[in-house]
Amino acid sequence: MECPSTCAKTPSLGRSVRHRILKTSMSSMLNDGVQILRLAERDGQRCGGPVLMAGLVLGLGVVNLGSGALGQTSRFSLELLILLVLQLLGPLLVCLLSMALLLPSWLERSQRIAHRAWRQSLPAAALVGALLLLLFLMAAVIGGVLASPRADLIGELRDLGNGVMLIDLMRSTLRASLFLAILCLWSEWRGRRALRGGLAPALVSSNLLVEGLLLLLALKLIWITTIDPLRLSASPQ
Amino acid sequence: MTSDHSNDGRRDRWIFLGSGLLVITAVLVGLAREQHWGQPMVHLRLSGPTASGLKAGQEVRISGLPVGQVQSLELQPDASVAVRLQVASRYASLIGPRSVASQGQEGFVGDRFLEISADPQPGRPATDLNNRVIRYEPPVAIEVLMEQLVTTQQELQATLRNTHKLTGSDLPQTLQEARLSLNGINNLARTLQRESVSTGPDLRQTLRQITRTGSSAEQTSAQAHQLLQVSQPLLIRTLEDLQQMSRSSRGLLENLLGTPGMNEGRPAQPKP
Repeated sequence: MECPSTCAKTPSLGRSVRHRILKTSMSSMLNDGVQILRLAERDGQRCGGPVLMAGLVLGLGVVNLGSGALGQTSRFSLELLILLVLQLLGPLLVCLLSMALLLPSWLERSQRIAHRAWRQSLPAAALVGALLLLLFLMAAVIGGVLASPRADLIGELRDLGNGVMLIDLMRSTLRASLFLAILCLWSEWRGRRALRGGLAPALVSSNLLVEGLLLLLALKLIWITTIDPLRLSASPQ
Repeated sequence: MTSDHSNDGRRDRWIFLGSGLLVITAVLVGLAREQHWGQPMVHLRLSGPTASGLKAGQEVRISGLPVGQVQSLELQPDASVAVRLQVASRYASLIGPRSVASQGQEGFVGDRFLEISADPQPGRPATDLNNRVIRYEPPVAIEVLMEQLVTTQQELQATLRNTHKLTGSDLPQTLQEARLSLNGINNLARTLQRESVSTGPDLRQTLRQITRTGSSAEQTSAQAHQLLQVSQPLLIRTLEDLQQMSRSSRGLLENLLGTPGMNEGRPAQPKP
């Protein structure tokens, strides 16, 4: 796709070549975009079920615990659930589950496409992380509302919607997206080096799971200490 | 392990991305609807001693209906809490200078909300209310209430103890004495009744006699008065006659004795 030296000399020829190059690069970008979307769709389908299930179980468990054993109101229990999902363990859990499920795919891509693998898998992972967190949140809220002792489920959802701030939601979504993208990059880079060194893929997967978990905890620690300190409220004061 | 090329031969379904977009849309629409995005709002402020019971996102109500929400809480340099709230512009005319904000709760365990008392100001533009400060009545501290409750309970217990003591010892004694007194009064009444039955006719007769004697005395008095009136001139004349007779007899005695200065019947002293 390099411009030949003659194109500068003959304007008509240069225009045609530039047009062709532009068209080709546009087509390549579009192709890349479609490939990223396909990859995100495939990864999302793989992770969607477990993430939804985890959200549902977490929602049911937290609200049952809050309004049952701890004797709190259903509203407080739901706010506690939102706090847990958005600020404490939502992005962490989603990234951990996604990493465990997508690690083989990342390794396969890094082995097959080598150093250009991240150009598609990184944005796909970021997109999947953001959407999975939203699905996780929805599943947790539905589970929580179903477990709530209040009969008016729609009213409960509406009350909850009043207290959730968009900025909190976006911050949490961004965190999940960023964490999963970093995990993807780390796994592909470390996986490619390990596979090139002759280690068995199963062993590499096992090692990368532990490394990914530690990296995730480190990222979480950095995030809550420097970027966005933890607040003990479901919504900003 | 799925390869990238596995999708090449078959049609893409986009289930995950489609549902993700759907979720994003639903979340955004839900939040926009509940948090009144895009609606013209009026911002109000209030200041309270504590943030107890208040939090961002809490409903603001007028006459029990939601009209806005609490936006933020800030601690001020004088340790008071500044609360910012927003109210839909179309309800802004219901808030006036006499409006007071206070905390409310649905039932005993329901959600808390901020209630603003209505003071309708028809015709006033909503922008006039922007950044206006509303009076705030903080809720009664539950600790103070509990202390008062304990004090009242103690006083009530003391009163109950005294009442118990009174009803346990003093009251029976008083009742016994009252019963004895009533018995005495009863006996006295019976005796009086008996005596009045026996002495009644005599007494009545005596009274009748007294009445008769009284009327006779009155009659006698009238007759005496009449007699006295009749006999008074005669008596006076008789007295005058007696006086005349006395003077005559005195003159006679003076003539007989020859002592013209004799007076008052004092005997004349003999001459030596």
